Amino acid sequence: MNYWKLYNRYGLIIVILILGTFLAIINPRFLLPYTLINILAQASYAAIGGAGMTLAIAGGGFDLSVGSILTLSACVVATLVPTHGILLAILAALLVGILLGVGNGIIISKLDVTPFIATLATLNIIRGLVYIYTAGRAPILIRDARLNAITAGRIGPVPVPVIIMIVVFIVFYLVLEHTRYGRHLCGIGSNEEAAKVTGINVDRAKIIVFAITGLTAAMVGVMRAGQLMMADSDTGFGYELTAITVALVGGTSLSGGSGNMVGTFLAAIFVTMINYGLNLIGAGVFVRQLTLGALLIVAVFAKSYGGKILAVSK
Amino acid sequence: MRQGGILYVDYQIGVMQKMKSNNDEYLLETESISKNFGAVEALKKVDFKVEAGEVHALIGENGAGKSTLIKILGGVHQPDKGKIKLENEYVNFKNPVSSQEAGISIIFQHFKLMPDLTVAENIFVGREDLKSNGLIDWKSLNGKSKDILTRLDKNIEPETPVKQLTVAEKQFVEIARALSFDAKIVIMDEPTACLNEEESEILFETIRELEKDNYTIIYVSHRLEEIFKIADKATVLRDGELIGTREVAETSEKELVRMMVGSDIENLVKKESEVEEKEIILDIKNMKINSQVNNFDLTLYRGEIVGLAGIKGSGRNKVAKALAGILPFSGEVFLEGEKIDINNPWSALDYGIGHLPQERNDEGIFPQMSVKNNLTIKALKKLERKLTKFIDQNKENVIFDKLANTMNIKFHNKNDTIMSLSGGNQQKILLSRALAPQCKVLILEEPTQGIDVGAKAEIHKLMKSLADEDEIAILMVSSEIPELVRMTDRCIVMQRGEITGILEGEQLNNENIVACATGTERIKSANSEVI
Repeated sequence: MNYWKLYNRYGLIIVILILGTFLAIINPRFLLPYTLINILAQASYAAIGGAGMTLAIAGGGFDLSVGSILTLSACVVATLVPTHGILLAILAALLVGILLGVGNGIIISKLDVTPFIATLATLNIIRGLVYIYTAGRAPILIRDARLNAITAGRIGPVPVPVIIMIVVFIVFYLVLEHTRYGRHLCGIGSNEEAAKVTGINVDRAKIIVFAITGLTAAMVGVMRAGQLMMADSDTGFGYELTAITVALVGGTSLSGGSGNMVGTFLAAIFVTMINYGLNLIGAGVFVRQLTLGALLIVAVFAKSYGGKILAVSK
Repeated sequence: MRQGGILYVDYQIGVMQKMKSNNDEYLLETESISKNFGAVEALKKVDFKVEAGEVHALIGENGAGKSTLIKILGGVHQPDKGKIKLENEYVNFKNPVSSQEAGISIIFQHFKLMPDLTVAENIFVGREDLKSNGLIDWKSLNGKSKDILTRLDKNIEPETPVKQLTVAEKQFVEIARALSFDAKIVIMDEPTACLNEEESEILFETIRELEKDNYTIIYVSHRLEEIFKIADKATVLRDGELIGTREVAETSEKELVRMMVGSDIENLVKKESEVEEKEIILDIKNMKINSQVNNFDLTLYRGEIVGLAGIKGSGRNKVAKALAGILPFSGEVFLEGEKIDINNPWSALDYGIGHLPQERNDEGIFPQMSVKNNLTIKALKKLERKLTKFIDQNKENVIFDKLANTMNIKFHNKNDTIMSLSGGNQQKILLSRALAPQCKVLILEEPTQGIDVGAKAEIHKLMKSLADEDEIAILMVSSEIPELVRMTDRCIVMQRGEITGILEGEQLNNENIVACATGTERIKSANSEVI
């Protein structure tokens, strides 16, 4: 019984340590600081979207359109850098993410469409926008190397994505656990009717949370474009599933009402380590996808099974 | 050796004789049943005895062990120690099905009906008659359902989807399902918790019918007046122990309350003297809600408790919800002389209008959130640090501890989820939640619904002190007329969206409230011309 309690609290850390030991055995270079930092940098892409998704899930929703938003923002930044300069291009891309998120939020709160249907629809709409926007031009190559330095370079030994990720997680953790907005979000995710009666501005909170997921997707879009020095209509393909998977493996429950920011962070690292390991043994991209799916089932099953055992032993 | 042998035989005979005498008397018997949940002793050596054909009430405060006992009878839990004897034989209910097969059927407080299926499907779910081709035989299914419903004297069509039924009708479907199992013993867990008075009467009628047909009924309830209406016997549990069983005809409400609580609850003294100088705090003029409430005027004075009575659908809850910003309305509202616009729940909150919602589960608690976070959620604005906007955890703990203490809320750890609390304590959390932001006016919808006698008395005491000491004006909607009479300074009675009575002083009594709520009577007490 106590193993489950232990798993509930420290499960991901334990699993990461076990996997790390395993990786170190099959490839001693895994333990080099360079490799470890690289893994963190790789993890940041999944982690940042996962952080936004964790907030959305805590609020009783989730966002399927983040992959499309990521792609569109990447394309926006790629096309605007030559004409408007790096700063304006980045701001424009982030603004696109926020506005699309606000659109999601308005559809969900004011038109009362469930998040699944609303964001499934906008996933397609925004993907359509990507094709229209990039018609005939994709892949859009970026020639200004400064964008790469800003979004994927290093400050001292630390990669920029890692810094961005850490800032995002600290801010989001504080928002979720220590602000009125975070509490309200959990209230909405826990019991929306009660949240309304209690005096929470439910519509506004929902619009904000989807603006946040849109913003995180756009941030990852800009980072991806800077990393690859290009953007095309496939840049964010499947990203929504990565973000949701990371949040759920991290221990956030899809039933809403609470979010586990630390878990999401650890899950992003764990998933990246698995990909690293699969790469190491020469597994292809299909196997990686398969593993990601299987991992989700195992993690969620372990959580609910462990939860049941704990409930009984109580 | 021989002597020992003889003794042994004697002993056996003695036991057997004793057993035999019990057999004749009781249909269902528990022998010294104990059940622990972790460190909590939910039941301690309970000997609960039920005779065939009686209506046996099982009463006690929240946490007294009623639910555990009926769940053991229903096979949901298994006893740690002790045995169950049904019709003479020891039985062992490993799961709910084995108990059901033995003839025990439980109707839980929260129905387990499937809203989109029809009445007949719900009654026979999982046991549908099939035609030879494997499809459901609807004719037989509906026919059998109709038979049972007719037996209950209920005019419910078997083809109706359950979601179209009223709460009371759903209850009858649950009863019909219980009977469809050929149950001998029907256990009802707080069956009137969600029913209004009229519907409750119909249920009592049905229970009497069932009793005539020789069904045995175990009736779990908080409401003592019901027990005197329908039960033959009442067994009281307190803290997991069986305190005693009484013939209802030979006991009194006082005695039962004493058994439940362990001591006399002092009757709260009605506030004798009015506040000397009445200071108006809330003034409602010509409130109109959706054409369902018309011309509603009300003046609330500082420190008074005003009741809002009426049958369901009279508009009393609509007025409460309008003031809490949940329902839109037209008309004017003045708070301390200034006109205010209550457009939504958060503006009501900002004006200092506290609100306790009617439905504890649907509109109140946040099940995934902690005890503490459930209590403080309305007060967060005041707890924010100026610069960072983070919640000041120290201040939050102070507010929580203070309210949890005055409300006498019982909890293990304030970071556990609110679901770990009993219903009465959950209700106290919700009341504390309304008070936490420091309100001037408190709107309470059914403040003591579904909670036990002890918690109820505490909440009443608290309301009095809020009104007297903190000078909060309280508007209380309640379906329980004695509560209104005892607690309020003034009672507004509504019927079909209009005020039909303003009762004060001598005129504030049960009869007048009922008369104004249901009849053609119109009473306005003389000393309330101010309205």
